[in-house]
Amino acid sequence: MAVVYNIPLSRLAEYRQHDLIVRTEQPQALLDSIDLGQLQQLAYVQLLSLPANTDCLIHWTPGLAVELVLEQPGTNFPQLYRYAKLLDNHPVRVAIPVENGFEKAVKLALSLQFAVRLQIGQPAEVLMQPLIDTLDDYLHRPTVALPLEFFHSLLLAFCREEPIDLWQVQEEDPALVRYIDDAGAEQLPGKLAVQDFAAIAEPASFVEHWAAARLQDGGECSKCTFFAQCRGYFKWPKRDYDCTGIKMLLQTLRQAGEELRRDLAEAESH
Amino acid sequence: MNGNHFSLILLSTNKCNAACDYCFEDKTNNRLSLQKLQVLTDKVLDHMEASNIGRVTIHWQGGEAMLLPPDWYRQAYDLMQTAADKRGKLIRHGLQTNMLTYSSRWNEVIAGMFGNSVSTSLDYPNLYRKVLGRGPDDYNTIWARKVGMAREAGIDVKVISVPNQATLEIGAERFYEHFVDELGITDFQINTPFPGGEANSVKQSMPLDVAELARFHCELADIWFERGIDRGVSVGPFDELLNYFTHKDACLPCIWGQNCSDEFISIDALGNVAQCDCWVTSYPEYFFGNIFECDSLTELLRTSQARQRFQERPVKLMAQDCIHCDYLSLCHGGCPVRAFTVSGNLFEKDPYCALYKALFRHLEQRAPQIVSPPVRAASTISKAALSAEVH
Repeated sequence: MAVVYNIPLSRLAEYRQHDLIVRTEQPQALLDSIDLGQLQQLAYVQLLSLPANTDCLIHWTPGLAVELVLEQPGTNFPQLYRYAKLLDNHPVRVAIPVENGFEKAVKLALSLQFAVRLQIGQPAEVLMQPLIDTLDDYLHRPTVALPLEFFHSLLLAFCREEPIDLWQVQEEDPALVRYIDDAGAEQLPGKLAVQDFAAIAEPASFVEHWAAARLQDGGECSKCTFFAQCRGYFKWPKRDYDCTGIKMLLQTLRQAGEELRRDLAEAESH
Repeated sequence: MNGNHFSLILLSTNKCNAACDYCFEDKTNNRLSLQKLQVLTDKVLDHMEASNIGRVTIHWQGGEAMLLPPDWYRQAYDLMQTAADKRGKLIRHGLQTNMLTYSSRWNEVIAGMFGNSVSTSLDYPNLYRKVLGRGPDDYNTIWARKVGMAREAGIDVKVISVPNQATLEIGAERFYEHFVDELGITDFQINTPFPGGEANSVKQSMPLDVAELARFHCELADIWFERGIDRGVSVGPFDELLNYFTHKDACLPCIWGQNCSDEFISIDALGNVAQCDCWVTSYPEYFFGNIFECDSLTELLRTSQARQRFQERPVKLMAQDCIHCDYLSLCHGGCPVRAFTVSGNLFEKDPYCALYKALFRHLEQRAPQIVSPPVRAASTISKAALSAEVH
C-alpha cells in the first residue's frame, strides 16, 4: 500500500506524484491550486481552523472527500452548521479531538450527517464517561446514521471477526501516512508527530517495533485481550497510561459486534 | 442557498378570498404581473447560475393563488419553462390553494403544471377558516364541493389541517374518522398553530396546550398505524417519522430542517424577499430586500443582515438546551416563526418543543412494532452500525 502524504497546499508542487491529503485554511486556494488531473491521487482535502466560507467548495469536484478539523470542540461545535451544505456534493468527516466538550461536537456532527473521526490520544479519566456515553449513542441511538471512528471500524471488525489495526484506522501508522509540515519537513503522523522523525530508523516499521516492545516489557499490553486490535496505540506517548477506561470501551464494542454477528446469522437462517 | 436545489415560495397575489381568524398574512390587493414574473424568473435563474444550483421548486401560494386565472398560470409556466430551458435549469411547480374558486377550467393547468396534484387546507371542527364575509360552515360546504369535483377529475388533493382547542376536545378518533371515513381524504398533514401577524382573540389562545396537543398527535399516530397504513392513507408528519425510525429515507417538514435559510426563500407579489411566506406577509423588518429593486438576488441574499440572523439561529440555539436533546438530529430547534411569534425572539427554540419530543419518542418506540426491522438487533444497534453490515 502506497504511503499517503498529508501536505500543506503550498507544497503541492513537490508532492504531486504521491497519494495526498491536502490541508489548508483557505478553501478558495484549493480551487486555485488543484487541477482535475491531480485528483486521482487526492485521498481528501483537510480544512483547518474552520474557514469562514466554504461555499466555493460545494460544487467543486463532487464526490471528493472533505475533512473538517474542529479545534476546541467544546466551544466551536455550533459552527458546524455553517458547513452542512458541503454534504450536498461531498462525503464530509469531522476530526474531533477528545477534550472537554468533545461529546457535544460529536453529537452535533452526527446530527448534521457528518461522519466523525475521534482524535482520541490518551484520554484523561474525566473524559471516559463522555466517551462511554458517546459510544452508547453510536451503538444504540436510531438518530445516529453515520460512521463514528474508531468505534465504527472496530465494531465491524469484531462483527466480521476480521483483523484490524487501530493505528491504521486512526490514520496514524507511519507505514501508511506521513505528515509534511509547513516548512516541508517530513514528520510522523497524528499523535506521533512529537517524535523526532530523524531519530526513527524505519518509520514504516514503527508500529511493528512499538507493539513488539510493549509485549516484551511485560506491562499492561502483554495481558490485554485487545492487543491484536490496539497494538499499543494507547500507550503512546505515555507508556504508563492506564487503559482501564479504554478497555471498557473496547469490551462494549466487542460485545456489540458479537451481538450483531449473531443477529445477522439468525436473520439469514430465516 | 447554494446546494443542488432550493425552494421558492412564490406568492402570485397577496389578495385572499378567505378571512381565516388565525391567518398571519397582512393581505393586500397586489398581484404579480407576467412582466414582473419574467424579471423575477431571470433573477432567480441568475442566482442559480451564480450558485451552481440545478433545480428549483416553486411553491405557488397567496393570498389565494387561484385568484389569478388558470390562463395566467399557463403563461407563467411557459415563460418560466422557456427561461429555464435556455439556462439548462429545472423548475418544478406545486400549488397551495384553499380551492374555493376551483372549477374544471383549472384541470388542464393543474395536470400540466402541478403534476395533477394540489395542496389545500381544512380544519376539523372548522372554527376559524372562513369565506370572506361569511362563516366557517360556508367554507366547509364550498370546500367539500370543490374538492369533490377536483377528485372526480382525477386530481390528487392533499390537505393541511391545523388543530384548534375544539379539535383536542373531540379527540383523535373523531378527527381521523372525519377526514378519512367521511371526506375520503387519504393524504393529510397536521400543522401546529402559531400567533403570527396582527393579534386577535383567536391568536391569544396560541400556542395550544402542548401536553394536550402531544396526546392528540400520539393518539392520531396510533390510529393511523392501526387503520391507515395498510389502506394507503398517508398522515404527516407521522409517515415521514416512521420512515426515519425504520431506517428509510425521510423527507421531514421544514419546521425540523437543519437550517431553513439554506433551503428556501419566499417572494411576495410585490417582490419582497423573506425567509418564508410567514415572514414575507407580516414582518417587513425581516425582509431580506426586494427582488425588483436589486441587481442580483445572489448579492441580496449574501448581504442581507436579516437573512444572516436566520443563518445564525441554529448556531445560537446550541448555547441553549437543544444540544442535550435526544432528538437534535430531527429538529434542530424547530421553526423560527413559531419561536418568534410566541416569544418575540428569533433565537428561542420552537414553543412546541415538548410536543415534538413526545411525538418523536412515541414514534421511536412504535416504529419497530409497525415495520419489522431487518434483523432483530436493529432495535438495539444504531443505523450507522447496522447499515454497514446489512447493505
